[in-house]
Amino acid sequence: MSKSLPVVGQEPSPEGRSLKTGRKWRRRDFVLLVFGWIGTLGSLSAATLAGMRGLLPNLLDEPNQRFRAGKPEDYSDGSVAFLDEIRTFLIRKGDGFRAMSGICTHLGCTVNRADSGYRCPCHGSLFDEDGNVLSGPAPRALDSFGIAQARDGRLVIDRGRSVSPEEFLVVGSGGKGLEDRGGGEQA
Amino acid sequence: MNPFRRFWQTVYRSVFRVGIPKTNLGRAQAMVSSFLLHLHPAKVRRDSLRPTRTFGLGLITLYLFIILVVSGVLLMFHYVPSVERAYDSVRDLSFVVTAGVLLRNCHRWAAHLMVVAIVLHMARVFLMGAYKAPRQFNWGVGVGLFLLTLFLSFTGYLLPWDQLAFWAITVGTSIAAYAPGVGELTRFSLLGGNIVGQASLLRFYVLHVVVLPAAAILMIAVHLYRIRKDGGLAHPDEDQPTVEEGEAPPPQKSYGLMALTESSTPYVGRDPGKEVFAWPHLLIREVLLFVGTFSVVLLLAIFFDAPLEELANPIHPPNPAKAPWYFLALQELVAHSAFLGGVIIPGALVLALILLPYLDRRRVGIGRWFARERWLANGTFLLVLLALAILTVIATFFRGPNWDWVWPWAAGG
Ligand code: HEM
Ligand code: FES
Repeated sequence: MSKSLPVVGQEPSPEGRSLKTGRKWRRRDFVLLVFGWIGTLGSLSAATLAGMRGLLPNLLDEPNQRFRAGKPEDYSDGSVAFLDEIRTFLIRKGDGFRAMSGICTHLGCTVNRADSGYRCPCHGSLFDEDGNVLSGPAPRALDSFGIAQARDGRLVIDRGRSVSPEEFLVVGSGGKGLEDRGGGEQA
Repeated sequence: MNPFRRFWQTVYRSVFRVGIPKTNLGRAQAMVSSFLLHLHPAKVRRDSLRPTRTFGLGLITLYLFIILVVSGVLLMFHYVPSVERAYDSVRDLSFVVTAGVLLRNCHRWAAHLMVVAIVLHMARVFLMGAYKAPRQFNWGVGVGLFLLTLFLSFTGYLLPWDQLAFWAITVGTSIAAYAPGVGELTRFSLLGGNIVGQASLLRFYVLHVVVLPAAAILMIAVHLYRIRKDGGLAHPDEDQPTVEEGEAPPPQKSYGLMALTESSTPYVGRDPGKEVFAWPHLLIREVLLFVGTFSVVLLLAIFFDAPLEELANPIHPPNPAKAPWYFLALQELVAHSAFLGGVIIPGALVLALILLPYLDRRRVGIGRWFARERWLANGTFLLVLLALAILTVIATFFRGPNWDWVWPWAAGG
């Protein structure tokens, strides 16, 4: 310890008072106190924050937000296909396509097709054809995702873009829709 | 004395300072001269030893925890926390590892029994009013241990990576996401992503084998230390309105030097005649209770196999997808409303448990079963337990595919 540190509980010098007994604050006591606390709390909290932040992954090993679902002709008119990788239904009506999430909005189970609509096996939520809740604990409708057609004519489902269940992508006469930029962004 | 014998004596004395005690002084010395024995007081109240006092429930919980730690460490030599290998490594216990089945069964049944034992222990402490001053803090430590036990079960459930594991964790972490403000972040950091995958398995593994057991061991140490510092177990003598309302009596030592002798001198506040030496009266009961607990676990492990469902299928849950029985009341609640049943009700119950000893401060009915003066508190507690039991029974027997109501006796139900 260097000589300049105040000795707690003792009279260090006639002109000053110690931290413990003194009524009079000396500048160096004050400076020591402030920097001491800033240093201690600062380093501890910085270490804690860094450690905690490190637990939040920066890179996810998860399916892309954008999913290539193949060509329109792979799906027949009136079909409801279930895409395993992204747990999403691809619904075709005429030339219109619609993508609807199969992940229950209650607690994340995968819903099954029921007689008309969808049923969740975990706590029994019932959804209609458009994903609206008919009964059960699910708080909101199943998500519908935007679809676009890539240059090569293939369908690209963008799970980052929610749309209304009435929105269908109409394919056929010339590829309308956005360019397939390939790959996808990080979630 | 021959030199070998002398050498042996030296070694023995260096480990065990006092041998098997023969006098009361020796019995007292023994208790303070060894680490494990020192956890005990030298003398305990005779009535604290009566089986109907505690039913040994705290000790049984402790023994189950120890069995879990030992069997868990043995399991760690076989288990691989990777989504490719976890399921197979658990299945290998049954087909490849000698006595692997027994090991896994022991761990599983001890875990279930620990949940039962800890709930019963908590109930006995409550119904005896033993949470009142000066034991408020130890009750709080107990609530912490209860939550830790549930988290240990929850994290352990993911490890076999079977269907039950995968969907129980999917649903469980989604409940966490309903917590206001911090919910989504909690879920994301628990899972290490947005979906249950390799990152989640590794996280749950580390929590299950290091973080949560270490926290539990620390808190158990504090819990046991506090029992002694709070003056041993609660007893009816404390039930005196001599102490001012709301003021905690000063912690009494569970023995004083004078109480070590069997003199008939009256001695302030306590009567040596009511106390007996921990050696052998307490110790023999502890040993027997351990043998009993371990036997029950072994018998269960020999006759019942821990289930292992199909390999986890991240695409489709089983139907119905049921949580382990001690979470079924919660599942039944969230089947009505995730926020109310999964966040508000459990949160309120835990908060009530922690605050309880600071709110209920009347010094009546301490250390007695079902004291009539405590009818309101005891009644409320039993009603809540009953409600949880009913929910559990409903979820176990009356819920079929799609969580639809079924009559268990109806065909195919
Ligand atoms: C890992 C879990 C736990 C262990 C190992 C444990 C262990 C023990 C032991 C050995 C005792 C001595 C008396 C007896 O056997 O009943 C005890 C007493 C006590 N326990 Fe626990 N316990 C645990 C959890 C809890 C819980 C969940 C609560 C309540 C929320 C709790 C509250 C208390 C209180 C207040 C006492 C003192 C009771 C009295 O003085 O009569 N403990 N505990
Ligand atoms: S997860 Fe679908 S109803 Fe609960």
